[in-house]
Amino acid sequence: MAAAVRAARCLPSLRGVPAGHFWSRQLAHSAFPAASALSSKTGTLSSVTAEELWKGALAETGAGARKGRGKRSKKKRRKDLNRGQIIGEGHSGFLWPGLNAPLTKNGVVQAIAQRSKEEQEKVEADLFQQREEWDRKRKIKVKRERGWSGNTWGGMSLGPPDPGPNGETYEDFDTRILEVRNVFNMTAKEGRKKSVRVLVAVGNGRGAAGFAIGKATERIDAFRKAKNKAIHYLHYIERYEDHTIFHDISLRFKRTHIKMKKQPRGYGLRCHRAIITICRLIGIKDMYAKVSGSVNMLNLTRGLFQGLSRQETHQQLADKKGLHVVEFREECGPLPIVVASPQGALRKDPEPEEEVPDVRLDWEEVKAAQGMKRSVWAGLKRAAT
Amino acid sequence: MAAFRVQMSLWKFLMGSRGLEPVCNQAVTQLKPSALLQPLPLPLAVGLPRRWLSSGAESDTSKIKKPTFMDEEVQNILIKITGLNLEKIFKPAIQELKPPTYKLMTQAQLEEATREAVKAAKVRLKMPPVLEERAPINDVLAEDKILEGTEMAKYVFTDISYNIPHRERFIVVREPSGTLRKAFWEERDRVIQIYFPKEGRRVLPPIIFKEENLKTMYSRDRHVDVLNLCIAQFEPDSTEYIKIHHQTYQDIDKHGKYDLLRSTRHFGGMAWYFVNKKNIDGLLIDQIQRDLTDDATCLVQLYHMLHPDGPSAQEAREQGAEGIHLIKVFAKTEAQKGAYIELTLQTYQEAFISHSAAS
Repeated sequence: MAAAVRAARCLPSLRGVPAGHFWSRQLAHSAFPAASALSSKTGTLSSVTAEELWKGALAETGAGARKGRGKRSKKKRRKDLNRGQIIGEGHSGFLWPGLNAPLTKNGVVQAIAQRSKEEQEKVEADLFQQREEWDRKRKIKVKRERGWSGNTWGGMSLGPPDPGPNGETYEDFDTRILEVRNVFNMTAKEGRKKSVRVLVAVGNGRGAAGFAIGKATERIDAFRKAKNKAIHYLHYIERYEDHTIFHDISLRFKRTHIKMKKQPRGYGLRCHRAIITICRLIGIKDMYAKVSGSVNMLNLTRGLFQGLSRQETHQQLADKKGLHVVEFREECGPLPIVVASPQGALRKDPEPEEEVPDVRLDWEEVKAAQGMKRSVWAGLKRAAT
Repeated sequence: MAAFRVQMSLWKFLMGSRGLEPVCNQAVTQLKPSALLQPLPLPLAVGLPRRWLSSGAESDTSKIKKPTFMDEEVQNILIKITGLNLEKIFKPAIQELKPPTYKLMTQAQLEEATREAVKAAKVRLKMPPVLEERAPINDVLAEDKILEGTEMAKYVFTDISYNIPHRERFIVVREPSGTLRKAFWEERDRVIQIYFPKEGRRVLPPIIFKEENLKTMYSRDRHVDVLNLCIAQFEPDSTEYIKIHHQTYQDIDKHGKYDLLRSTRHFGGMAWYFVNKKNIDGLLIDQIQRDLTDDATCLVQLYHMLHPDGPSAQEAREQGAEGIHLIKVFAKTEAQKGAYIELTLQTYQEAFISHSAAS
């Protein structure tokens, strides 16, 4: 009885008629003699929607899918089987005016016709080819941009951050992912709950840069959160002649030691890959940096931004000391180039100079200078920048 | 043969159209040995061929002493008009870069450093010598007809003792025909470069000194590089050296690119060439246009020193002209582009008056 009701629902034109397996058969015979073939094909016993069928086949919900037990290779994809189907097209090849044939031709209403066998075969073959082509197109692997290496999200670009509520756009800012990590939290109901934590840096290549972390259950949501948060935490970093830092910086942030050295034009960025990414976003083109101790990405980024923000520009140094800051370049010979002059008073007494400078030496550097360092990685020739 | 013709034309430059006594000719063409024995900027051999020393004594007896390139007054004038643009002299050289060093200095220390830089600049601006073209060597030592046909190639015998000046070395060539002769100047240079290689000098002259390549260099405004390479490669009294220098100066004059050589060590040589050729109009116009009227007056003074019997020198002496007036006198009398010079002077004076009125 229930099956008959469902059958009646499938054939909307017969809704008013009391549904019955026997009745529908009779009606089919009398009204549409040609359509009798059609009605025999419809599953009148149990008709299920495509949605339900697919839900059963894919098995997205279930014990296997929860708690991260699902394997990536066992994931099936839904396919719309009715794509390319025109109402009116069938195996017999009838031409129904208004459905798969034009209704009027030269003002004359057409009659129901049938295609020849060859034509019908051709039409069916065409449809088959078309469906295969769609499948092939879907299977093509889209080449995506590589970050620092093939399978990592580090170094990949996320495009500019989303525009703000008051209409401000950040078109000239680029975001780069620094780290993607799956972190887990124990909850009462499900136990281990996975969350994705993303560290992202934004910058416009002209000195303005910032970083932020975003956390969400889904990866793309975490990306979005981090991107839009980073744009609100920008640092402005002073650069010398727009290509390098003002002076050598060696700092320790928690357990991460970073030693940055100023380099001339054309040297490139010879640093840790994360530092290269961040420097590109800031706009620094030539620098050497060595990271020792802990390489925790978050501490590295925080330490780097702290160190770069606390640089002393030449003008600030001149004002502090009250003396001219004079630059001597090897390639220019003995020519003194005044880079900054104090805005306030100019001191008369010179800076005291001792024979032995009171500078803390770095043992690694001393070893390298004396030739005591046996390392295969020192002075290795790599690709530019 | 070509060398002789060049020598003749050189003499013409120096003498001008006036006839001078033959004694004067000698004084002009042969150099004062004392002047040359001063420390030269290039690591040339100090000693001169002995025959030049003997003739030098005669020049002291002549009455009108023509000023040479090495005279103190001439050098002072040339140094003055060369200018001292530190930025240009210490232009960044193309070499491996190192990060710059910074010093904190007081005003006094800064001035001290600038003085040091000026001293180093003056050393860099030391002018290379302007010499006469060397007479070709045609000295045959022996003719041995017995040896004819025995060898297929020339043999060059060189004395490679360490402590002989290169100019006094004995380099002889035995030809396949049996003649033993002294090596020509070009052969001498090549052989000395093989045994005592000098940095920057090649045994065979590089192809950049060919006509087409020189033209390319001139079109790219690289006259300074051409002249530096020429100094490194050739001796100052060799034909090619003089020819290339004159060619470069002529190209600069044609296009008016005098500023390329300003603040380099080649400017003095260029000015000397123009004054000897009596073709200082272009240079004067360029100097006035760049507001270097003092340099222009110095140049005209140098011209009068070298050609004291010319109309403009006599006019100047009569009128006792000074400063801009001197240039006007020169423009009126001897200049080819006198009108241009006067026009430029006028424009400069108007600009000067308006500037002083404004300030």
